[in-house]
Amino acid sequence: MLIKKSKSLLLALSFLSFGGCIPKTDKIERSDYSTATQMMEEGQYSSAIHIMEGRLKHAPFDQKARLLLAAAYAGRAGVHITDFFDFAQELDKVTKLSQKYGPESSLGVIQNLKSRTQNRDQKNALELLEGIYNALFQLNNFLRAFELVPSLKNAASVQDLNAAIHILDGDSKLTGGSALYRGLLRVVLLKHDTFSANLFKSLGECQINTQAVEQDLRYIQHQTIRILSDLYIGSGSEAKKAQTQKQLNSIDEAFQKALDLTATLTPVNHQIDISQVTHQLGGQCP
Amino acid sequence: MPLASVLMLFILLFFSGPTRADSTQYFKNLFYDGYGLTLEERILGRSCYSLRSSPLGASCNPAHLAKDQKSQLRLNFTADQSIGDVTEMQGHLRDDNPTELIRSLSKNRGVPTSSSFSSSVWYQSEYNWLVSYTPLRGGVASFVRNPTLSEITAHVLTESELSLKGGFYFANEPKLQVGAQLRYVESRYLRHQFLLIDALADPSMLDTRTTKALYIDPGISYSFDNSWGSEVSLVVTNMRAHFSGDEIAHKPSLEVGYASQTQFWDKTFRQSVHITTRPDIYELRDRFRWAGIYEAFSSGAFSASFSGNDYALGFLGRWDSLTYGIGAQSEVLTLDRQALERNSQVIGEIGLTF
Repeated sequence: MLIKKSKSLLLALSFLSFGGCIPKTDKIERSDYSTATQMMEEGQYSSAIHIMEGRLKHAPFDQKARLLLAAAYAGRAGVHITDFFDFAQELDKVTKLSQKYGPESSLGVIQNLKSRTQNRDQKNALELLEGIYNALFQLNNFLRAFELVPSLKNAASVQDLNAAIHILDGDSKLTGGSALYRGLLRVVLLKHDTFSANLFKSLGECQINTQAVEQDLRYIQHQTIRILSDLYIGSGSEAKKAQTQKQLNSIDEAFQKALDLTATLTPVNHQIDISQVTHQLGGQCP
Repeated sequence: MPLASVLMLFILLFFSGPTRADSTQYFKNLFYDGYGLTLEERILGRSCYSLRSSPLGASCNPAHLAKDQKSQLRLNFTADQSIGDVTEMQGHLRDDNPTELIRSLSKNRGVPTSSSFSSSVWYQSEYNWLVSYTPLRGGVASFVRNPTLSEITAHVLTESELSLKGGFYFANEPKLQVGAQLRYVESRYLRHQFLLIDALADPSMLDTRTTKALYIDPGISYSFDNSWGSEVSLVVTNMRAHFSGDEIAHKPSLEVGYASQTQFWDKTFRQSVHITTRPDIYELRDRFRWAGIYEAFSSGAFSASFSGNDYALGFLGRWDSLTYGIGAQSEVLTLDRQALERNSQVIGEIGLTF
């Protein structure tokens, strides 16, 4: 009787303690994540980076550690995911809009000039401009939403953001929210790079340098395709994936056409005069 | 049945470790909050099961109805100052709009939120029963940590309830009162911990569930024959008799309390010491609660309670057919056994009584 009672009590105590039993390795992992998260909440991103770099060194396939490390770098660059919520929603809206409205209306002036021009060189230049505007219209959908994307403050932030993207690139099987996160980080970088690109500067003036334009077009095309690929991989629904794929093809096609046009032109000193277009659009040349 | 087996059954039923299947096990669980029908019940918290209500209140322990000979018809609406946020979130949940729900949840960065509201109508009979209908009750408990990556822990609830409870006592043993409550509840809720980026990538990943359940809450109370009017009460809550829909992780909860009363400035003051086995509480000091009701006026009473890191104080009154209440509640929410910032609410109640 005494033995039976002891056994029952022992069994009860075992059940009581069972739920609190956590393997030692789980405890260490949770502690690392908790500490790093705590550091990030307090703005101590460098400490969080140190912890997660150590974790990733021992466990290179730990996806959560990789994501936290990338987030710590992004945090140090001043980029927080909550800043992106409105951008992500805006992107969804403009993706649908771009499929409805083409660039025809904004190219009216150029097409009109093209039809009246007999000069072959001028015609080619106008065709290049048409190609660039077409490509940029596709990109404009991103640019309109860009005001919702955080701006990078300095070179150190650019470096940190590149580090964050590089860390996520280390996982070749990145999907879902993590892929989306990488895409959004790339958007921040694209915004930073685009506004300092020569392409927009030259379009505001009266001459295009075809070499510089080609370089910028290639870079923007490459970055935009990478962003859309991440958004594609990160999409949870098939409908969203299809929408993203359509936009990806559209942008790729437009940029490639513009690039093909730059290849056909060999102007003197790589400079093309677009003062006629600038005047028609209401601008002034120096 | 041998004592050891009874002890084992008791421990298994109420104190066994929480399952690891639920990632929000160490966060506030709205199913155990027990909104009740009045502001007084909200102020008292789980102590409501061991303390008889004031004349304007409704006793939570069905056994307490056995000797409660009042009759009232009431319409009531109770809410706190975050009613805008909670109605917005429970509205998105009800309308199955995960994107807007995520947006609403992600707004409260670094600030833990706990808020609720309810509207109800009930009738209490002098023959020791009470029937109530709560067409809409909503609650939110949420916290967003790490703004860089935004890890959201949320419990959002919208439900309606129909309940019937009654109590009686034995003629040959009037000190012992027993009762039971039947509650039919239709709930739609989200209880999930997730990263904002995962939810942005696929809003449908939010673990929203719908349940229809019938609960039985038996209660018992024993009054001692002394000048303190002492009594001991025991209620088992959230015992599920039937359910349909999605499975939910919940456990019955045992509520035990000792109450007494005295006269203070010629007015009745009742107080209780209460213990709960509510599963989302893991600190021993938080399982105990002290509560009191002071019937300062014939048309109103003050109520108060405190436990561990939370406390509440309120007044429920009546003017002609109008009932009104004002109170304050403050608690420290915890997440993964770590204390977060204090969350304080001002609660109001407005209603009609006939």
